Amino acid sequence: MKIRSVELTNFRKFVGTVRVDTIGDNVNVLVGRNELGKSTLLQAINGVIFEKARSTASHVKAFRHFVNGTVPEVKLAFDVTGKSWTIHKRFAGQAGKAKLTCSDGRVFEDDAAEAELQRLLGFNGGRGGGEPGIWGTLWVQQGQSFGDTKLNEQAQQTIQGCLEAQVGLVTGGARGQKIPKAVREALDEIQSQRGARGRFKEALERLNEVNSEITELESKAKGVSELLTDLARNRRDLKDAHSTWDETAHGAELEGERNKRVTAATVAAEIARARDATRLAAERAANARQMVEDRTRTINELVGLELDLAALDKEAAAAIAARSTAKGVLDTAEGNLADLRTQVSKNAASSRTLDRIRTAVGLNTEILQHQATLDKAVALDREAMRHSELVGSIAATEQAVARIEEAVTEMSAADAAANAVATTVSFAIAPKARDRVSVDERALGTAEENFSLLVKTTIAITEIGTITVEPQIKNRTTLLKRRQDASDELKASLEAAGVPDLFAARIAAAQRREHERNLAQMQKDLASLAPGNRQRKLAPGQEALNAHIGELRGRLRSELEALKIADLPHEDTLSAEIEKTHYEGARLEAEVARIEAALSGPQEVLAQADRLLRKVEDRVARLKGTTGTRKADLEASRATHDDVALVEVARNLGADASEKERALAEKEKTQGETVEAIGARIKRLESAGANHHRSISALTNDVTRLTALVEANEGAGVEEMLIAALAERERLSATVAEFEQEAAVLKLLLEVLETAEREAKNRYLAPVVGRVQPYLKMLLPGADIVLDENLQIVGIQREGQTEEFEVLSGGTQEQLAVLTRIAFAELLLGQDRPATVILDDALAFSDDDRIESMFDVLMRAGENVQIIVLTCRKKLFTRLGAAPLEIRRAS
Amino acid sequence: MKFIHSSDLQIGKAFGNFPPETATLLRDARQAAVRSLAEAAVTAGASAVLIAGDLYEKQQMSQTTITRAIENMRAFEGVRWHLMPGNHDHYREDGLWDRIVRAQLPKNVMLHTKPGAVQISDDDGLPVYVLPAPLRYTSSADDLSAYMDSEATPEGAIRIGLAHGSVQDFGSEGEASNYVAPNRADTAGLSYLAMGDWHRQMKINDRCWYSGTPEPDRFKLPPGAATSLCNGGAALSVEITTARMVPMVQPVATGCYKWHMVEKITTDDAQIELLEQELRTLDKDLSKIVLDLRIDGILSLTGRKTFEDRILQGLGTALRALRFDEAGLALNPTNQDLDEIDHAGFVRVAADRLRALAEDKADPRQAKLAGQALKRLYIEHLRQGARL
Repeated sequence: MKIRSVELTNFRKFVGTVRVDTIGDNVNVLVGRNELGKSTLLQAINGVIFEKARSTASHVKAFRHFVNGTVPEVKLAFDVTGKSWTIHKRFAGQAGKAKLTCSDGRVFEDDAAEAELQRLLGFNGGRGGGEPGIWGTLWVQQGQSFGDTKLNEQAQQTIQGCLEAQVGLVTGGARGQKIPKAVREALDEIQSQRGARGRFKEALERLNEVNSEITELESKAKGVSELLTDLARNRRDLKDAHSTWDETAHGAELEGERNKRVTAATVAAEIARARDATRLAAERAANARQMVEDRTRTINELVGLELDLAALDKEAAAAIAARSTAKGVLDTAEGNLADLRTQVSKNAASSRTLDRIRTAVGLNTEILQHQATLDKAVALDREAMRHSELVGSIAATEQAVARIEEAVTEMSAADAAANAVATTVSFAIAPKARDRVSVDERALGTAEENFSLLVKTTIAITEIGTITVEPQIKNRTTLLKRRQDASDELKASLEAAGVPDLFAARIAAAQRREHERNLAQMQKDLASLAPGNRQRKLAPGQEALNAHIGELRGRLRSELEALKIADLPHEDTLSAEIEKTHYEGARLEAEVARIEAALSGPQEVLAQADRLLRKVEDRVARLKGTTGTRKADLEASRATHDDVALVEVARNLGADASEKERALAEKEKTQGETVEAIGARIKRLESAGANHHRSISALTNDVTRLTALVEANEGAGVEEMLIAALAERERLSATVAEFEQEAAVLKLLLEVLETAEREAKNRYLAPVVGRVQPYLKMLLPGADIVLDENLQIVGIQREGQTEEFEVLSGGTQEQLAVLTRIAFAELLLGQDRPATVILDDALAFSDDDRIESMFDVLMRAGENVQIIVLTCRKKLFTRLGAAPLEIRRAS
Repeated sequence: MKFIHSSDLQIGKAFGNFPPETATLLRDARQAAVRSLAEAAVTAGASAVLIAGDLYEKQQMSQTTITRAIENMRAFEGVRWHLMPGNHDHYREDGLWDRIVRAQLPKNVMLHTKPGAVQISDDDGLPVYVLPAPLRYTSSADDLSAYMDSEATPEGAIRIGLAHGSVQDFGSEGEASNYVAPNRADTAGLSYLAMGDWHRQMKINDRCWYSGTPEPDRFKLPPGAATSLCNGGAALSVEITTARMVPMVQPVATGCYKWHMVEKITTDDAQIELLEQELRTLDKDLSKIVLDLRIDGILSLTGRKTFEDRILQGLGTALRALRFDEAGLALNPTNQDLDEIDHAGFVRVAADRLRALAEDKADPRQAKLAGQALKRLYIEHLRQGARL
């Protein structure tokens, strides 16, 4: 469908007839300010197509002019199916008229016109008017452009019809939609992402419980079985214990053993007694033998001791002689050493005296040095006195010279002041006449002379007379006084300085300064001659030096008296003496050291002789002690038995011991089994009896206990419970397997259904998406549009991420909606169905860059689809490059 | 001497492969077998019932379970019960059998827990001896009946052996061990050797019989069976007039429930109806039938739905118990099945894919799963259709 022109008469705001014509095939733009009537134009297009001319609906009545209410008319010319058509409607309620004219000459009026129009443009009619269907989507009214396409049912059917015509039936219809949902719900009932749930989970949990029960019951059954085994064994053991034990025989055996033990104990006691007697006799015999041996050994020992003592006496005599020799050698050497030490002592005394004399010589030298210094200081002091006098003889001090200089200056200034106001009288007298002229009676000095006159002055010219000049000077008195004062001061200052003039004063002052400098130097020299000495506590100055010399002289005198000498020797003589003494000292000390070293040999010989002597003396003393003791012991022993008697006693006691030993051996032969052996057997037999009774008791207890346990457990029927539990496990395992199977089946079914549904949807939407995509690429490169099965925009996909439509900016939403509408229109046209896109004030939210892209999109789409753009933004839409439209008043 | 020979009551056995309520009924039926045997004895005019082992399922049974059986025996004063331990309830000192003794044994109940000839009656001057071979362990390497060969009894006495085990070294019945020589009756001069352990009734020779269990407890067809009826459910009525006479042995029905195992291969949905008819003829009283139904082959989705409706949800509810194994049943959805789900759209695409997976022989597990998923899709489709 392509709209060619539209004409409105008395429609809403328009009075009379206005017209928009020459609407082109591609993109057309109608630019106009607000309130121009662009939206009214779209309303009129909608009205003339979808509203019946005879409609009395209120929104149709609203087509009338706001004020005058005259009957509105709309005439729309359009091309469809290769023919040109004009629909003309007059909305006059019941009296309304509709007329549809075709370029082939056919004319349809009123209801026939309405019906043909519906057929042509593919919309449904109704009592109140037509359903715009897809047209409502393609014709975007002001303010609706940025919403989602939101197809109504009819529009959806239209598009679906197109899609299915192109790709075939892909959806499963209402029932098909419900199947995946039902399968999903069935799967959710038994399985979640985390595993089993609901009845499946209950079965699994119960199976686990039953498994635990089975484990427990198996353990119990095994326990009962073991109890039965234990009980049977214990009964058998008890029976065996009773059958293999003869209590009477055991008692008789024990009694017999006890009697045997009594007999054995008696024999054992007799043997023990005989053994004691034998042991005693043997001890006595041994003692006697020992005594005989001891006496023989003592006698022999005494002989040896006497011989040793004699030998030791000889050793002691030799040691005493050796010691005496060593002592003589040592005494001689020590006498020599004592002499040498006396010489050393004397030489040391001489050395000390010489050192003292050398100190006195040094003291004297110091006194002489100080005296020379003192003498030089006296001479310098005298010269300084003379220079002081010279300085005092010159009065021209620096101050006096300065006073003279000031007076000269003042004198010059006073003269200058007077001369400035004085009357100058110049004389130019012929030299021959000069003597004839006098000024205040003073002759002229030269032939030509000038005079400055302050007071009345008389110039007498001999033979001529006198000329009196009396200058008229205002402050003459002051000037004259100043000159007089200056002259007086000059005179006084010269007199005070004792000089005739300033030059002489300056020479005199220079001489005075020279004298003062010399004096200062002398005083400085004086001070340096007696600077004092802190270490010697000598104060600076001549007085202190003088006192110090006195003190030194006292000390020297005292020292000479102590040394008992009247004069001090010459220093060289003294040094030679001291050196000689020192040499002698060293020689003596070396000699002493040598003799001391030689002494160590004889000293060691003497010490050795001493030690040997002490040792020999100790041994002699010890031998004497031992010999004494032995002799005393021997004598005491012989007092009881002499040597012969003692041997006899020992022999008798040995014979007695032998006899007793023989008797013991005889007795021991008569002894049978030992008491210990019989006792051990009795103990064993008693223990065996006790063990038997304990065993019987324990087995009886065990049988009683196990019987009680078996009886306590058997009633429960553990194995019966176990087989019931095993049966339940079998059932539950089957149930679990069924659930697992069901879950696997449902999962597979759901997977296949979802895959098929997804693929179907993609295939179904492909024609629309395929048409949107080239435009979207121009607008948002790299983005893909995502539609749902209702052809609504879900969002866009960029870089693998889906951005939902609602979260996109208003501008992007609006642009996507326009693109989708263009795609729908292209889809319809592809199926030879009418489609025209009208955009009223669309793209209001687009920024400058995007709107440029959208203009490109619109112009490209306009090559296929007729697009009519209504806008108030003249400047902006100039860049669209579309064919301009105008609302013109009809002539 | 006329007596009823039975064994393997295995009272207390549980049935884990059935729902709890069914398992309870099957368990109770084993207790009830005591009364059935007593009634069979009364009916046959027999004076005794000989149980050749495995009266109880296990050693450690509850007092209630043990006592109830003994009390049921006490109730029939005219019938003497001769009980011998088997491998399930073997004799242990202070064990199950000693408990029974401690709990005051009724006069008409005799326990044979030790080997050795015991006179049990004096049948008009003809003494009758029982020679039991009780088990002391679950299994025994020796032939416990061997002693019978040399066990003396008075000349002319009727000797009845009681043994529990297999007459084959490696029993085809799968219950080997506790070997008993099949010619023991001959070697020991027995008039009759009453055998226990095998749950199906079986004659070994004229003097040696297995009575089988009086109440079936497993789906196991006799070898070469032409019927679907499983082992068990009967006892033997034995009459011996003289020691050397061949005893007269008659089977006696005692079972409460009949266990059937039916295996079918389906190739066509139409076979479902035939199957239903066949199953309905198993018994007049379907509530006494315990059925193990194994279906192999293929069914369409529609056929599977029909099977579900007519066999499992229809006939199946009338049975005492039904175990259904469809492991070998493959679903072969037809185009019509899939068209029923949808002609087009993604659901149909999913159905087509599942069918392709189900037909993929390279991955049998996945194929099986896909078949189930397809069945589930079909059911969901039906459900959603029902809701719309």
